[in-house]
Amino acid sequence: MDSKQAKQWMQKTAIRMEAEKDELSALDQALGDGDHGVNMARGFRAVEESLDEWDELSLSQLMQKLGSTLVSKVGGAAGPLYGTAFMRLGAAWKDVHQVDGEAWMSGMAKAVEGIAQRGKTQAGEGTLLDVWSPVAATFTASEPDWKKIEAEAKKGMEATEDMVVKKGRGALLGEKSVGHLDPGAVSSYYLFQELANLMKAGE
Amino acid sequence: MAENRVALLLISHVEALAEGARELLQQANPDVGIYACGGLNDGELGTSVDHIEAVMNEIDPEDDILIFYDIGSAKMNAEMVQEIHEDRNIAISNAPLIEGAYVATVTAGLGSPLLEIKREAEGGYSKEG
Repeated sequence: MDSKQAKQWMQKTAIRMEAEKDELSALDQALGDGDHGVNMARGFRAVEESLDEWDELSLSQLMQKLGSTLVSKVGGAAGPLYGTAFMRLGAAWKDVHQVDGEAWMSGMAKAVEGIAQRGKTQAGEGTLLDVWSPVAATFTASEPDWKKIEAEAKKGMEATEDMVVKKGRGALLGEKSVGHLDPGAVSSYYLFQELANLMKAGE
Repeated sequence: MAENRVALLLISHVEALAEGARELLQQANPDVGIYACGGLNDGELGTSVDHIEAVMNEIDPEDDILIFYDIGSAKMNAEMVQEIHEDRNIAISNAPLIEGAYVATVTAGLGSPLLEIKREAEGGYSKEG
């Protein structure tokens, strides 16, 4: 992925979040504020509107800007979590102009570490980490297998339905929190699905 | 060395809840600096770093700050603000918003330092188990 493709990824994700806005918010009504879709759509719309201004930025700077925009425009818990993930990718890709398997592997490991620290969470607690973590583990030093990455993201997203939520307000409900897809895991799946589609098209 | 004065910052998803809590607590001691940060900048429900930052600007830069939060994302955004201002003495209380901030108001009114107020406020119950 180069910076041009990164910008296309942001654009595709903005369109996707807008399209899935109502569904994501409905999922969030089960255990949260019911605003995840609206927040994600607002955040990525702000990203999309900034893309012209970001035209001269390096890949690393783009990821930093994406992260800080999501922190402030998405808000809630998703803003800091997604924001931290992309800022870590930006930091990991300091001198990277074309992300290869190895750069994805090291960058995603940092992103996952960032989400875990920010959310004081780990995989298996019904959060977006249940998508980010298996996706990160799928990257190897060789050419990324985008089909497999998408499949892992989907599997991780679906698994959150059977988990006892340990974080956020859903955690107040204990065992009663089982039976709901985590909205952050679902939006993360969309994010990686858009990435996989884009990268497969470029192959 | 004299201890810094401690201001309380109440973060809630709802403006009316934060403002109402501030009103209740200020009654216990009108001299303690209590700041309410409820909802988002545009009046919608939620919590965000941007809005907390706006309220942070109203607090005396010499004051230490003890933050109370309601549920879910309020805490994560409080932690981000704490990191942004790493040069300041900011603590986050895991006590329930109303009960904890009430104890903190009384304790801060006695001139206690930040961590003692946090300890007192969490004395009865902490949301972190």
